[in-house]
Formats: sequence, structure tokens, C-alpha cells
Amino acid sequence: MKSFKDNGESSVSKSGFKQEIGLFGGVSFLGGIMIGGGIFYLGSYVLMRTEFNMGLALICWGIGGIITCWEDFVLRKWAQ
Amino acid sequence: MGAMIPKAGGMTLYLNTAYHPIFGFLNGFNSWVLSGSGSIAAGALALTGIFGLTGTTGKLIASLFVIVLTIYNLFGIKAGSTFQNIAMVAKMIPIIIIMVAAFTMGTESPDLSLTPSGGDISFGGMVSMIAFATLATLWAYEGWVNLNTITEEMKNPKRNLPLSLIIAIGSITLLYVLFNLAIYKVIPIDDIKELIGEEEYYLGTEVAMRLLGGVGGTIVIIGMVISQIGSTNGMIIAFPRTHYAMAVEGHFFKAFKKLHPKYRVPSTAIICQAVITIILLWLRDLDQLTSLVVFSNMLFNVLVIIAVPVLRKKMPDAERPYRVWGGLPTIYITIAIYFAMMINTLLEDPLTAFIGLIVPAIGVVVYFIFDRKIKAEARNGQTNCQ
Repeated sequence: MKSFKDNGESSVSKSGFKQEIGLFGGVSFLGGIMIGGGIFYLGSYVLMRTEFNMGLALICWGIGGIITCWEDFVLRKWAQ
Repeated sequence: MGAMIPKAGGMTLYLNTAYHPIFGFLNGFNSWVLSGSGSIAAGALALTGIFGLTGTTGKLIASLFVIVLTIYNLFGIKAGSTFQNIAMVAKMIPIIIIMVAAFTMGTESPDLSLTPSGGDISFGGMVSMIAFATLATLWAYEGWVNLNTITEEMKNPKRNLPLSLIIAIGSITLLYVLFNLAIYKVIPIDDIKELIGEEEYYLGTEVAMRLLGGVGGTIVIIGMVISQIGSTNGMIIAFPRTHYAMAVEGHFFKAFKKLHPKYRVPSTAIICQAVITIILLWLRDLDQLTSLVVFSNMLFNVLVIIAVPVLRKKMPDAERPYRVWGGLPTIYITIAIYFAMMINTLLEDPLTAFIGLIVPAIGVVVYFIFDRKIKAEARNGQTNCQ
């Protein structure tokens, strides 16, 4: 796996997939998957769980993002 | 990880390195039967729920929706990814309208002090409250792992993969915090309590109604529909690529590694996923599906986190480009939190926990069946999944 060379130039990878997704495509793919209907109703569940403390609720949303980023780093860096 | 190993689907190789190849397989198998297909089923049911369609009618429409999106994605990655771009832009419009309206017209000054309203609370009680509430937010952050699954279809994945992840997760976190703050700036906390008491959870719709009237409400509903279609479509694109990677590795149905000669998509894997999704959709309701997926993912998140100290022991000399914040104690605390949450599920919802545990157990048997097949070099053509 270490000998893998990035062939960013070619339009079809060795395995036969077309390489058509760029940076904006990657971000929108993630945005498309991650931002679902949840943004519109999960806030209510979070408020119920913090006993309607709004400050704590916002902190929890932040922690959720930090956990997600942290998991990403653990996964990606350790695979090296 | 995906940038280093473009052939691996998601966490598979990471789990394989830390433990045994069977764990990577189980992750993929579990996604195939439960968490992946279950998430698509939940997405489809949530969409019909927006229109107030429940019961058999809702399930029929949801099944139809899965079938239509599946057919659409059989015609190449470009078609699917173009739709993602459109959906991404389209759903941001109502979110931004709500936020701009709330921050310019909102008259409430929300009380953001962290002291609990119910008087004194112990430090431990505070921590468990935060953990429990954060768990609810995690459903909104699900799905980032799937970017790894389209690595092979990315231009310059070494640069674009990590960059996409950082940009996306960072902006989404900020968006969620600001979106909720926007709600607090419009609806007083007592009204929020009342709305939630009446099981009216869509506070964003209420904000739009109050500031912009019926038109505002309609815009939000359109936004909800588009974002629901977008996230469901993204999953329908992503998961079959994992099944493809597993088939290429060997421990999965051979038919899944066939790409369509013209459209270059793993057609059989895509169709098979739709079948499982529709079966799950008829077996479980929306809330049952989401709790099942959350529990099921927790199981593998624990394995991933335990893998950190395992890999440290296994490869003590490996170069570490960064240090885990807080070191090993952070990891052990995280593991303890996950276990506490899983035991909580086991007590509160035993059936969900049982299904979540039995599927990986079946996966173990399936793995060894494929293993024997590979070792016996049996070349019996195609295996159909249905």
C-alpha cells in the first residue's frame, strides 16, 4: 500500500472507476450526506436532554463536531 | 486513511490492521445488512414523514422513492454526483434565509448561561447530561466516513479527500451551532418548551412561520424535502462502493465486483442494496430504524477507538504524525462512555440491542464460509445475493 502512486491525471483509475469528483464535489457529497433532515428537528431532542438549557445545547452541538473531526483524525492518521 | 489506501472502503483496513481481517469484513457486512441499508430506509421514511404519510402508504411511497433513486444512480457516478451538487446548493437556501431572518429580525436575547435551571447538579450529573445530549447531535454528523468510499472516483484524492473532510465537518459544525442560536433568537424558551411538549419538533419551520409567514414555512418544507432526498441519494451512491471493495478483496459475493461496462458503476451491488433497504423499511418503523443504526454504529466505533491502544502496542515504532489530544486517558474515557451508552440501550431497548448484536454474529459465520471457499479455490461462478 505504501507504493501506491496517486494518478490524479488520468480520468479512469486502474480498477475502472471514472475519476470525476473534485474538491467541490467532495464537500457537497459530504454536505449532502451529513446535512439531512436532522438539522430541523434534532435541536429539540438536544434541548430536552439539557433540560432546556440553551447554552449547554449549543456546546453539545460543538462537541458533536469536535468528536466527528477527532474520529476522522484517529482513523486517517493511524492507518499510516 | 482513504488517501493512503484508495482500494479500501472506509474503516475496513484500519480494523483489519488492528485486529484480524474478519473485523473489517464484519464492518462491511453490518453496513450491508443493517446500518447502511437501515440509514437509507430511515431517510426514505423521514421523507414521507414530512408529508404526513405514515403506515402502509408511507412505506409504499418510501419503497418507490428508493427504487427511483437506485435506478437513477445506475447511470454513472456523474449523474449521482451532479444531483448532490444541486441538492447541496438548493437546501442551503432555506437554511440561510432562516438564519439571516433570525439574526436580523430576531428580538429575543437567549439566556446562554450554563447553570442548569433545575438548581444544583453534581459534576458527574452535568457530564452525563452533556454526553446524553451530544449523542442526539451525533445523528446529524453521521455519514462523513463515506467519503472514503468514493476515493477511487476522486481527482487527486491525496489532496482533495482530507481537505473535503476538514472543510465539510468544520463548516457543518458551525452551521449547526448558528442554526440553533438563530432559533433561540426568535422563539422564547417558554414557547419552545410548549412546542416540544406538543411534539412539534420542527422549530426551524416555526421560526420561518413567525418571521416570514406561510411562504417562509413553505420554503423550509421544500428545504427539508431536498435535503432528505440529497442525503438518501448520497448513501445510495456510497455504500455499494464498499460492497465492491469487499468483493474485490475476496470475502464477498463475486457479482458485486462487476462494473457496468458502459456506466462504470457496481450495478449488482447497487440493486442488491435497494432490495435489503426495502425489506428493512417494511420490517421496522422510523424511530426503530434510527435507534438500530445508532446502536449498531456504536459497536464499531468502540472497536475503532479500542484499536488505537492496540495499534500502539502492535506497532510501537510506527511514526506518529500527531498525538491524540489528552493521550491514552482520553481514549479510555471515550471507550467507557460508549460502553455506558450501549449498556443503556441494552436495558432500555433490548430488541434493538439484540438485532444489533446478532447481525455481526451471523457475519462471523458468513466470513468463514467465504474463507473456506477462497481456500478451496472453488470457482463456482457467480453468487446471487437474493
